[in-house]
Order: sequence, then C-alpha cells, then structure tokens
Amino acid sequence: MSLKSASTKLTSRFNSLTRRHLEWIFNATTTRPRAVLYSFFVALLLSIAVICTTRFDADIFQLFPTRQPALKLLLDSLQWTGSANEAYFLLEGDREALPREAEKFAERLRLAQVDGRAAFRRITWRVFDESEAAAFNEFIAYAVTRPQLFIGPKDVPGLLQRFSPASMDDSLRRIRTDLAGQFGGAMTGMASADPLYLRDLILPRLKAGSQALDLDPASPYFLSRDGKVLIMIAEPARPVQDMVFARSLVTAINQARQGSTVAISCAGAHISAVLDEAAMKSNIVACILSSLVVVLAIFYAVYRRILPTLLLPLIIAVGVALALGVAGLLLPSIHIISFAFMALIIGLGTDYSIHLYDRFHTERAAGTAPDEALRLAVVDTGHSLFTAATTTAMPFFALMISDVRALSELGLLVGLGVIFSLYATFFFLPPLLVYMERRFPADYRPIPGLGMRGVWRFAGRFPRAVVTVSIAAILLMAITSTRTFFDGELKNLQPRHSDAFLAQEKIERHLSLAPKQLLVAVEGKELADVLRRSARIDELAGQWRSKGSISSWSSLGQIINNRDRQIEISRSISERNGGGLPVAELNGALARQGFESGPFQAFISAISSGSIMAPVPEEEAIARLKASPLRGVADRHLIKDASGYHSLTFLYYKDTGFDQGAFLRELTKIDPTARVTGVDLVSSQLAAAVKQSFLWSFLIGGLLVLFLLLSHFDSPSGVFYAMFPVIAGSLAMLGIMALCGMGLNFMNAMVLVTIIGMGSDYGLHIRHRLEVSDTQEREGRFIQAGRAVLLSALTTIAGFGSLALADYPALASIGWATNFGVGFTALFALVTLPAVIIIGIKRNE
Amino acid sequence: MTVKQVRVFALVLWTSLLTSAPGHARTISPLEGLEALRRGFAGLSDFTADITQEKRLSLMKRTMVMNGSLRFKKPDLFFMEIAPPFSSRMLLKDSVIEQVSGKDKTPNRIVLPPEQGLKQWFVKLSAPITSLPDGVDVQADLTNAVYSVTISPQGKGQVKDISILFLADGTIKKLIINERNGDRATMTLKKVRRNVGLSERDFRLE
Repeated sequence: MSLKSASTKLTSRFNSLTRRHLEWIFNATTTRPRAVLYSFFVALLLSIAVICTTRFDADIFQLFPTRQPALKLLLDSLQWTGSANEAYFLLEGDREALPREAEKFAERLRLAQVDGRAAFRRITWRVFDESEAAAFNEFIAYAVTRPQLFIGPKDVPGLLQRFSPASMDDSLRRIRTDLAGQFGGAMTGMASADPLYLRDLILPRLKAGSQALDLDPASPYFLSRDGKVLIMIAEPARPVQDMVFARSLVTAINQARQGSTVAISCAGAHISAVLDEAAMKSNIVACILSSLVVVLAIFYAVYRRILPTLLLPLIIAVGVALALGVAGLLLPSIHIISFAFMALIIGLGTDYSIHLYDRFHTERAAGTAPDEALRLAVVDTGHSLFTAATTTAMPFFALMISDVRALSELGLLVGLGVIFSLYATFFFLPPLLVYMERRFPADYRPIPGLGMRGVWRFAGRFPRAVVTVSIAAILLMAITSTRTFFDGELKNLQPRHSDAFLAQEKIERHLSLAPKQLLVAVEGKELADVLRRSARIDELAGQWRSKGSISSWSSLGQIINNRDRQIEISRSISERNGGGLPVAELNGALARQGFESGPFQAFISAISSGSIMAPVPEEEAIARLKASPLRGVADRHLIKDASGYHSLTFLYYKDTGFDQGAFLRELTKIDPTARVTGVDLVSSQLAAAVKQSFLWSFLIGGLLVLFLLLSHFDSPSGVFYAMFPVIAGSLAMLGIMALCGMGLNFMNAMVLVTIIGMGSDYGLHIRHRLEVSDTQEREGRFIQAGRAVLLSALTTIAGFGSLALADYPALASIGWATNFGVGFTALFALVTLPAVIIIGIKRNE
Repeated sequence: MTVKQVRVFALVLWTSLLTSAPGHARTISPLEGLEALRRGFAGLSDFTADITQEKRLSLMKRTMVMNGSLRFKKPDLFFMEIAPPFSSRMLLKDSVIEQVSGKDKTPNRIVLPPEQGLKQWFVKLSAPITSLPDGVDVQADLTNAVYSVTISPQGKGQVKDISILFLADGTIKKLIINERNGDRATMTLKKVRRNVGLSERDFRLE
C-alpha cells in the first residue's frame, strides 16, 4: 500500500467518522433537544461546583517556573531578608517638609489597624533610634577592643597612631569638650567604652556595608541624596499570602495617606499583590465586557436576528465555565491572569456560531428547507468547523508542555474553551433555530456580502497582480521581521500606572546605588567555610570594582573580617608596633587630662589582655552584630535556616560596562556551587525557558495542525491553502511589530501559536467551500465563507484584540500581536488566497 | 522619657520661667509646682541668657566648670554655645539635635522619637495642668521663698532626677540633673533677656 493511498484512506476514514459524529449531533439536537440541554445543564452545575472550590492566585511570580535557578534564588532571598514581606513608602517633597510629614505619617501607620490589631509590626524611617543607645554603646565597647575584626588592613597605621601619647591626649581633650557640650553626662558611657575614638575607624565601614540604598549621609533619615524622596520601611503584621489582610492593609494605608502635604506612594509585596490583582481584574473585566458588547453588536448588525445574538453570551459562558471546571480538576490552582482566556473565547467561540448561522441563513435565503438548511450547516459547515476548532485547540494544548505556568495554564484553558465553545454551539444553536422556525417563522433575506463580492471579482480580474503584490509584501515583512527582538524585561509587563510600579521606579531613580544589582549566594553547613568562600567572592568583586566594571558591592566580608584577615591584621599590628598595643600609656594620659582611671579600666584591660591579637570566632562576631542596632547589616548579608548558612554578596552595576557572562564564568571558577540572581539573569533564564516552550509548542502544535489538515483535505494543496495565510500573516505580524518597535515577550509570544491554529481556519473555510466547479456557485460560496471569515476575524479582534487597550502591558502586548496577526492572516485569506485559487482554476482549465 | 529629652525640656522650662513666672511664698503640691512652671511660659516667645554649668562627672577627677550662652524660641528651637576651652555648639530643632564640638565642622546629629520633640511638650503645656504626667514622679516644695520642683523619670534610664529651683518672683536659682551613676550637673542663668524677637537665623550651627 503506497503512502498516498494510506493517506487517502486515513483522510477518508477520519472524514467519515467526523461526519457520523456530526450527523449524530444533528439528530440529537433536532429530535431530543431537551435531553441535550439537560445534559449540558448537569455538566454546567458540576463545573460551577468545581470552580467554587478552585483556588485562584494573584502573585505574578507564580506565573514563572521557580525551578529556574535565578528566579529561585531571587524568591529565596526575598524570603530570607524579609523584603518579600515589607512595605515601602516613598514621600516626595522638599527636604524640610519631608521629615515633618514622615513623622505624622509614621504615627498614622502606627495607629493603623486591621481587624482590631496593629497593621504593622515595625515602622522604620530613621537611621538611628535613640532607644537603642545602650545596645549601641555595648556594641562599640566590644568592637573597639577587637578592631582586628572590623577594620581594613589599610586602617592599621591609623589604629596605631591613636595609641601614641600625643593622640591619646587629643582624644581625651575631645572627650572633655564633648562632655561639656552635653546636658549632664549623657555620653559618659560611650567615652569610657571608647576613649580613643577607635569607632571612627570602625563605623564608616559598617555604615558603608549596611547601605542598600543611596542615601544622604548627612541626614538622620532614609533620605535620597537629592533630598526629594524619603523612604519608610514597614513590616505588615501578616504575610502577603493573606490576601484578605493585604486588601484591608491597603485600605488602612490609603487612610493614613490622607491629609498629607507631600505625595506618598507605596510599594511592596502586599501592595503589589492587591494593586496588581485589582489592575488585572479591572483590565480583564473591562476587556471582556467591551469585547462582548462589540461582538454581539457585529453579529446582530450583520444577521439581524435577536435570539441567535442573545445565544452567543450563553455559548461563551458555558464554554468558559466548562473549561474552568475541567481545568479546576486538573490544576491545583488557577492564576487570575489566565482569565484573559475569556476574552479569547469570546472572539473564538463566536466564530462557530457565525459560520453555522451564516450557512443556515444563506441556505434558507436560497430557498432550502429548514431541516436541510440546518443539516447542511451542522454536518457540512460543521465539518470544517470541527477541523478548525481542533486545529485551533491543539496548538494551545501543546503549550501545556511549557515550564512557564502562564503559558501552560492559558494553553489548557483556551484549548478546553475552544472545544467546549464548539460543542456548545453545536448543541445550543440547532435547537434554537428549530424553535425559531416553529415559533417565529421569518423571511430569510440574503445577508450583505460585506464587500466579499467585490473582493472575489477584483481577485478574479487581477489574480497575478494580487499575488505578486502579496508576495512582495510578504517578502518585505519577512525581511523586516528579522529585526524582531525579545523583550525579556519583566518590569515591562507590570501595570504602568499602578502605585506599586511607579513607587518602584522612583526608588530606582532616587535611591538606587546603581541601576542594576546582582546577588551572589554562597551556601554551606559550616559558617567558617561559607565566609572563607565569600571572601573569595569579595576578592573577585574587588577586582571588578577596581577596573570599573561594577559600581560597588556589599557583603559581610566588607563589614567583619574572617579568621584569616583577622590574623593578618593582628600580625600587622604586632609587626609595626613590636608587640601588642601600648594601652598602658592611656593611664598617664588620663591623669594628665584630669580623668579618673577607673571607668576606663575595662577598655585598658581588654586591650592589655591581648584581645586584639587573637582571632574572634565568626559566630561570636555575628551574634554581637545581631544583638546590636546594626543587626540589619548581618541580617541582610548572612542568613541561617534549616539548610545551613547563606552568605549574600550584592553587586551594583550600570547598564554598560558589566559583562555578566564573563563575571559568571570567573565566579564559577572560584566557586562552582555559588548561586547567582538578578533581574537580568532572571529575565534571560525565563526568556530561554519561554523560547524553548514556544519552540516545542510550535513544533508539536504545527505537526498536529498539519495532521488534522491532511486528515481533512484530500490533497496537499488543501493544506497549502490553509497554511499560506497563517505563514504570511505571522511574518507580517512580526514585521509590523518590528517596525513599531514592539518586541515579543513572555506573554505575546503565545499569539504566534494562536495564529497557527486560528489562522489556518480562515484558509480552511475558504478552501472547503470552494470545492465546486461551477463559477457562479463558486462566487456565491466565497461570499458566504469570506463573510464568515471576515466576521470571525472582526470578532476575534474585538475579543482578544481588545486587550490592546488594557493598562496592563502583559495583556496589551497580547492584544496588539493578535490584532496584527489576525488582521494580516484574514487579509491574506480573503484577498490573496482567492487570487491563488483562481490562478489554479484557470491553469487547470 | 529619655535622658536627652528630659534634660532639654527641663532646661527650657527653667530658663523660660526665669523670664516670666511670678513667685508666691506658700506651700505647694507637685501639681501646683508644675502649674507654676506652666504659667511661666505664658507671654514668652523667646529669650537669651548667659550660663554657667558645673559638672561633677564620675569620669573626671574635678568638677568641670564652663560658661556659655543659650537662646530659645517657641515652640521648638533651642541653641546653646559653650565658650573655650570646651567650645561646642548645640542646636535642637524639635526632635533633632545637631552638635559641633571643638574643631569638628561636621555636626553630630541625633534624632529623638517624635513624641519626645520639644514642640510636643509645649503643646502639653498649653493648657492648665490638672494631673501629673505619665512616666514621671514629681515632688515640689517651697522653702524660704524658693520653689523646688523635682521630676524623676520612671524606669531604668540614665537620669535619676531633675530639680528646678526658683524664687517666688520667678527667678530661677538652679537646675540640677542627677544621674544614676552619681554624675551631677548644675546650670545657672544670668543676663536673661526675654522676648527679644529672635528669628530662625539666630538658630544656626555655622
């Protein structure tokens, strides 16, 4: 048996099964409509029950594969450092007004309540809190007697200089002046703990290491250097996952913001979750409602029948409900952004009603009896609809292999929605038409051609010109499409006008140390090992800093010295000074400057006992830091959890001059187990995952579509007619997007898959209806099929393409890509394809 | 109540009373003593004075004696300058203290909690005092025509108590700060000039 005969047999078998299935549907819907409707009603109830028990997520990070190393570390670090649970408030105004307004706002936040309890656990807006003065003095007393732990090697000469007799006298005179300038003896504790002002060598390094934001060093507040923005950080009382709390929290924040004379914007996980959810919901709802209205208006304007028009929302609702119900059984939860699929179903689901009703109406207008007109609509047109729906659904189902939840979930929902919309059309529309024939018999007048007659005749008169111009346009677009780029910036997918997004932009503009940040995590069970490996990262960062490739970096190694560095500093002190530090000289200086020696003996004894010569265990140093007001420094750079220690190094760099790939290669050489994350890295890894998903989905979906088309048509030319508009439309879509400066992104890339399935329908319907030899009849059939295709394209654009108007860039990018893709595919199907067919017919004649 | 806040507040109260409070030679309750302090602020918008401060500190072998001047302007500006050899300047703007000592040019800055700002205290003193403030014990007596009001913060702060001594005619005799570690500071005001029309320009560190 040859391949051709096998293919023919397969096609014949497939078409036979499809026809029998459609005949069964026709019989069932026309002879037992009540049973059909009851069955659907039961299925609908079951779906609603499943939907009610389905969990819906709003966290945008859950849309992406968390097993991607960079994203996983990013999420881990947000959890470790508490950033994932913090709220940020940006106050904008003049330098003088900001602290005053910050005080008032902080007080209002302190008083803010959710469910009768304080909304925030902690509100921080000042660099130093006076209530921690005693703890600070205690830490200084510890630090100055162990300078080897905190100073850099270059500070050793400065340290030794402070122990010279003349310098000791200077320091003690300075203490007397400080004491005189105070009320009472407020600073006696600090003076006796650090009589030689060794803290001047220690604190700048601690301060530099603790800085995560670019702040005005002269301000006691978290104030930007330009003095225009003051940031407050607050820790909400409950985690971000508690969406009910998050919504109440945002309400409380909005109340606290009222009455302020400076602008206050806020960011953070709670705010983003609530605002993003609200933005997504309002965008999606607005798109769904507007597209539904437009789709119904188009349908009614063309066919002028009220009941079929009113049936459309029911078909769409049933299709969506059944899809959600089945998806709810298959998925642990559904992301709220996936509801965008409803807009697509509005566009796609309506297509089947258009084709079915258009055929029925056309047949009735031509004088065909009602039963026969309905049979032709369900069985004949239904056949191409069946193939069209499956070719649309399959590429979407193929998206389910994607790692990216946004794509796999949307693929499943759209695929199911398309299938269920088709069956809702098959089962609901015929009984309605039978009912209308009996109760409201109407005079079926010919439907307007919507310009399709002119298109057919124009293509028939100038077929070669049309084809030539089309080919030229396709080639031009193909060349332009080579400039298509992938926009992997996640930020570009966020709602542009949301408070959280704008606040984040202001933080980057006014407070960021550098535009970009890279985080390196060194992990292990033993602290000493982790810190030793981190020190090597510090060396690498230092090299990159010295050659100007990064702006700065911060790590625990920049704040406290590891054992090796401590030994090096102690040895340097010993070598330069011929032993320990000459602290005994301090007693003489104290006597000379009129001080009692007793209060200073703790300092003198500690230095004399050689505290400066022995390395301090890292655990002890970190415990001391965590017990001090500087605990944030330790918390930011070292985390301990059940899996061990995580030492974090933050590298700050500009857009240019930092070769991330080269840095990662060098990093891998010195520590292959180190993990790295950063927005650029997350984006690039996600982009790779998305590209891979699309490649596979494209291939699998393409093969499935090809198989279905081969099963539908008797000849390969049928496949060509179905696929030509798709390929031409896709190239034109990419070309126009490139010309408009629009890139593909994580979301709109799915439109390419959509176009394969959906766009092939247009050519399929045209080709399916033009399989006759009579020229006159061919024109009439083209008008009918072309009109339905045009209406399908319009309803799809009104449905899915309406997302282009959304404020949410992720949705808007899908809308624009759809508009371009569907628009061009329809154009090539309705104008170029008839010309090609006519050339083929003339050649055969 | 914190160390700095108590000190600053007591100093301002004391120096303000010197300029305006009338004296009454009679036995008074703590509440009456505080009310007398409060009334002293009525009609006062600003003042200047020369000061002498004596400090007996556990760190020092001898008592430190220093001279200087101070300025105050309602509701929240306070400036003090100490003359050489202990030259320093201190400016309090409500809850922010800035201090420059010796040869240093960069001010040391400390921010008090908002509730401890100077302005908050004057708001509290704008109405007659009918009950003792929270967080402090108050004692007052009148001996040989000298009022004495002693405020003792509760808790384990560094300040044990602050005593304000003033005559019935409103002349402040002494301000004494006792600390738990035994330190003691006494300040005396001289050449007091009230309501001289100070402006914000008079409250600058530079």
